[in-house]
Amino acid sequence: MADDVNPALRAELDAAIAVIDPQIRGLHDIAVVSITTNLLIEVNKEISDRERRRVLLQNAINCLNAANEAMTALEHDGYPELPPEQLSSTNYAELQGQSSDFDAAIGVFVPEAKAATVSIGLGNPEDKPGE
Amino acid sequence: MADITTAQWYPNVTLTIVDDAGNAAAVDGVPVWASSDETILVATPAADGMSATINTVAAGTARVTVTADADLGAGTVTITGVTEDINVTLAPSPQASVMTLSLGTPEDKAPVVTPTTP
Repeated sequence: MADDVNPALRAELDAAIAVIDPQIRGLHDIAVVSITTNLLIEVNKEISDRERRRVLLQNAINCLNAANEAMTALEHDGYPELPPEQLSSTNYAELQGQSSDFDAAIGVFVPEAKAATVSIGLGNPEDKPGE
Repeated sequence: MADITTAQWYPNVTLTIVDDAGNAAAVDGVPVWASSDETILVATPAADGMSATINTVAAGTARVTVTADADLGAGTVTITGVTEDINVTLAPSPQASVMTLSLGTPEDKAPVVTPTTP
């Protein structure tokens, strides 16, 4: 298993859930006892806000878990090494031949000259027509 | 500094665009001409932007700038050319040098009438 991709963020998210979970439980408890309608509206609103936040926190933790799983899969694939593949001498010679042909074809072209300087030639002043 | 009067203009202003080696080079699109002060000089480029006329408007000093895109691909690499200061002075007013008198056509004098005593 790969190391956690972001242990500090995970700890922060876990701490936030540890705070919000008892709040949600307590608010649900208050909602079932005998309270006024106005207070019940306020309590339900807080339950809704905190349960939404709880879902978002859990989504972030799930993404961290997914990142950890992806990193583990990468490591099982040999990451970060990706060594060159050995090729038979015949195949390697064929590739080298192709490479030579590419170089020959590229030699047919030259890069376009890139403009570097603009100069303005005023010429000689002349009398305006009709002056 | 180039000197010119308000009675003159530059009818054949040209651009020279070269690469680092001094060889002629192309630019992408039409070069854009601008005057630093259009109350003094006005540049009127040709359709391809490779030449222009520069007309004088009033006395003063101004410059003409040309910008072009040196990148022939999708990007933009702006290169800029600028003239030396062009000093425009007021042309002297035309001065009278010849006065011509026109006599008109000679005519007979009116007859002189002498009054008689009755």
